[in-house]
This record gives sequence, structure tokens and C-alpha cells, in this order.
Amino acid sequence: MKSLIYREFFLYRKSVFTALGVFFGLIVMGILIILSMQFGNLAKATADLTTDLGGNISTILTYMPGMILFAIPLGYFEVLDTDFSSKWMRFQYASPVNESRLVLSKLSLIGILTVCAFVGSILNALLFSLICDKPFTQTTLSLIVLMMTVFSLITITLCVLTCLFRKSTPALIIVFAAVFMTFIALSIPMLEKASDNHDIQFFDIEMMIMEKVSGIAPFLPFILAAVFVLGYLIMTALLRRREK
Amino acid sequence: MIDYENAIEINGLTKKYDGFTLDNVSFNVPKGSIMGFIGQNGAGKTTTIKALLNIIRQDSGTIKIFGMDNVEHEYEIKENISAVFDEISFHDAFNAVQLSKVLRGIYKNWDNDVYTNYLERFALPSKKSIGQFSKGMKMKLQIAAALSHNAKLLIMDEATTGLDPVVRNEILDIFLEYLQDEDHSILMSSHITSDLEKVADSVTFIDKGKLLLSGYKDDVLENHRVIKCSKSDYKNIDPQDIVSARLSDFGADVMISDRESCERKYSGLVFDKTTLEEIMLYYVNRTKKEWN
Repeated sequence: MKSLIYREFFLYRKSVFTALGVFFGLIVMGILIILSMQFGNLAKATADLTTDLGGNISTILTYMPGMILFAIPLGYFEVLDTDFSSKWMRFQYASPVNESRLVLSKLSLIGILTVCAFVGSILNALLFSLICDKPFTQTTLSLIVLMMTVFSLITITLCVLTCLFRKSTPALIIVFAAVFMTFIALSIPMLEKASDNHDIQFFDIEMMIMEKVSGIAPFLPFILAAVFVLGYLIMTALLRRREK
Repeated sequence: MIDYENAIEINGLTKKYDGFTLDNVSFNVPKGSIMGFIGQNGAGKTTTIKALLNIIRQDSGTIKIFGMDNVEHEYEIKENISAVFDEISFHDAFNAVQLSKVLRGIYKNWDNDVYTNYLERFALPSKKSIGQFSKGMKMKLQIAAALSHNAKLLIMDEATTGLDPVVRNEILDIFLEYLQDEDHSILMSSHITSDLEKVADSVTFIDKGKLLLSGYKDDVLENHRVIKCSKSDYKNIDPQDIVSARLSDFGADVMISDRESCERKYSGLVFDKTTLEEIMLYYVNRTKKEWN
């Protein structure tokens, strides 16, 4: 199993390292902005602007780098797509690796990346809570778990659909259409609220959505586990399907 | 593993597709031998191999590998076989060393020393990515990987197609070496019959999904002859004895499949030895009977 996970990671390593670069870049940028707000040019801005900016920046810096981390497994379906197009699957079918092991190795990598993203997000949120002198609350944790669940759901759905179609393009179209429509549906009430209050920021809207959904926070770990188990079962069944 | 006589036993294998049927194919690959699986493109060789490997579901028939059902004991069997395809299945980003790290987790009996020896023998660079390999190098790498986990059966699907004669010869030598162990067997599908003529112990001909003949190569070559005769002599040959005949302005080349009986019946005619390629050619044209 270790060697199969190694293979998956090896093929996906460039995306992982690129996303990590963006993650650390954002952190450095955030620290520089905060330093500027305290000692640099932004410190000279009006009190109102500093308060507005400070509020948004601290929210963005608490969650955005974490989002980048959770987005890492999102692109994994590309490896699956390459497996189908490069004849690797044919080799796998001729080897003593059964479908369960094959799927487990793929989901293990997604799982490992997700857990690492979770730890990274928590550390990032803690760091900016400390720097911005904001408390790390239960809501912060819930929102991070919510992000993890949503990104995992999208990642696993992409993988399942790639297995179904044996290529990623239709999977991408379906998933992103679904995500877009869900986002619009959830945003409508928030946008209505925003039209009444012109001071509201775009990022606040997203936060409002997430805070609303965070009511289901206690169930999120179970939903996350169910997503992985279902993904495992469906992908195993799909890969067991032989060529006609 | 149970004791077995034939590495592969295929009985009544049938697989229907829209426009193509692999029809009731039966043959055996005896343990310790190389079988050449011959047929033109689209004859059904790859379909048979896919059914052997349980990559496609067969409609009917039974397949036994090492005496075991190929579906029921799929993973036990696959631990002991290697399949080499016409195109490399390994990702271009890997190099040979990284590939071994993956393969040793797939095969319980993976032997890294054997693999390294093959890499050296084939002069394959261990740190160069597979994407930068030539076709011959890729094929050698596939074969190095296939021979490094103590597989008892090697299944080659058009693996030597597109390789230059020097590389093909090198690979054929490796196969003969591999067969020094009498537990080892090879099923080698190819339409390059000259390769099979060099190394095969037995041959199976397939065309349009139907098995034409299967037997020891020497027997097949011994039983088939080409009679080179005039058109009038050709008219005197019993159609029952003829596989097919190539007609030209100068006369007829007639393929027969029962040398002994034909030599008695047509004692005045000249019987030329034939090759696997000619046999394939005449059998492929058997429905036309006469061709140019």
C-alpha cells in the first residue's frame, strides 16, 4: 500500500508544492500587511479605513490560506484521469492489486492531504488570531471543519465521476456546475441582505453563508467520514466494472 | 499452487462485441514452453489476452491458468504472471528507480537485484525519466519489470511490434534464457511471425475471432507445404486438400495442410517448405480459396 501511495504522491507532488508555495506566500503577505498597518504606510490611513481593513484582513488571513490547503486534494482527479489515459489502469488490472487496494491508495493520499490541510489551517488561524489579537473561537474551528468537509465532498465527487466516465472533463463540468448553482442558491438571501446594507463586503457574505451552515458543525466529522466511505465504495464498484 | 501441466488452458472462450465475435476459442500453452499467438490485426489476439487477464468478462468458456480458474483465483494467479503490452503502462514522470519503488509494493516477490541487473544489461539509465526513453528502451524497461518478480508466465501482447531487429533479437534471447527454468512459460502474441519462428515451441493461429489451428510449431511447419505447380496441375488437386491457392500468370502456389497424404496423392508435384508467415497468409485467404 505504501508504494501505491508513494506513486500517487509522486505524480501529484508538483501541485502540492505549488499550493504550499501559495499558502506560505499568503502568510508572508498577510504578516507584511499587518506590519504595514502597525508601522508602515497603512498605519497612516484614517481610523475608519484601518478598522474596516483590519476586520476584513484578519478574516481573510484566518481562512484564506487554509482554503488554499484544502484545495490541494481538489486537483487530484487529474492523476486519475492520467491513469486512464496512460494505460496504467490496464497494467493495474493485469497486476495482483485489487480494486479495493487501488482505491484505498488513492483515497489515502486525499485523506493524508486533507488532514495535513486541516492541521495547517488550524496553525494558520492560530497564528493570525495571535497576530491580530483576535480569539480563536469554536466558530473558527467549525468553519475550518466546514471548509474541509465541503472541499473533500467536491474532491471525492470529482474522483467518483472521473472513474465513472474514465476521463475528467465531464466530471469537472458536472461538479463545477453543481458547485456554482449551490453557491448562487446559498448566496441569494445574503445578496438581498447586502443590497439593504451597502457597507457589507463580499467576503462578509461568504462568511455569513459559512456561519449559517456552521449550525451543522457537530455533524461535520460524520459527514466527512461518510463522504470518504461512500467514495471508497462507489469508486471500488466502478473500477470493478470491466471493459465491455 | 497446485501441480499443473498447462500454464494456460482455454476452453470454448466466446466474447461477443458489436461486429466482432471471439468464437469458441480453445487452446493450451504447455508449461515450460513459448506459444506464438498469431493473427492479423483485429483477429482477436488482444481480446483473448484481455479475457485471460480478466480485464474483460467472457460470455462463455473457461480459462485456467496454472490449473486454476482465472476469475476465482485472479489475484493469486496475477502474483505469478507478467503482462507486457505494446505500449508502456508506466507514467512518463517516473525514472527506473522510482518505478521499482512502486512495483515492489505491487508484487510480493519483487526482486530489486534482478531488476537492477536487467537495467544494467539493457543499458537503461536509472535516473532518466521514462518520458525521455526511446520506444525500444521503454519496451526493455517493461520487460525488465516483468521479469523481476519471479513470474511463472509471461504474456506478451504485440510487445515486439515496432522495435528494430537488433532490439527484438536481444529480447528474444532474454525469453529463451527465461525459459531455462522449466516452470516458466510464455504466450507471445504477434503478427511478426519471424520472431515466433525463432523462439516458439507451439503456435496458435487465429483469424476473425476463430481459431484456425493450434499445435507444435515443428508439426505445423512439417504438415504444411506449398505446392508450386502449373494451373492445369492445380485443377487436379482435390479442393479438400487445399487451404488456399495463390494464382499468377506463371501458375499456382497451393498451400496444403496434410503433407504426408498429399505427397502420396500428388507424387509428381514439387512440395516446398513453408513459413509461419506464409501459413498465416494462406489461412487468412482460405475463404476466397483462390487469390492473387
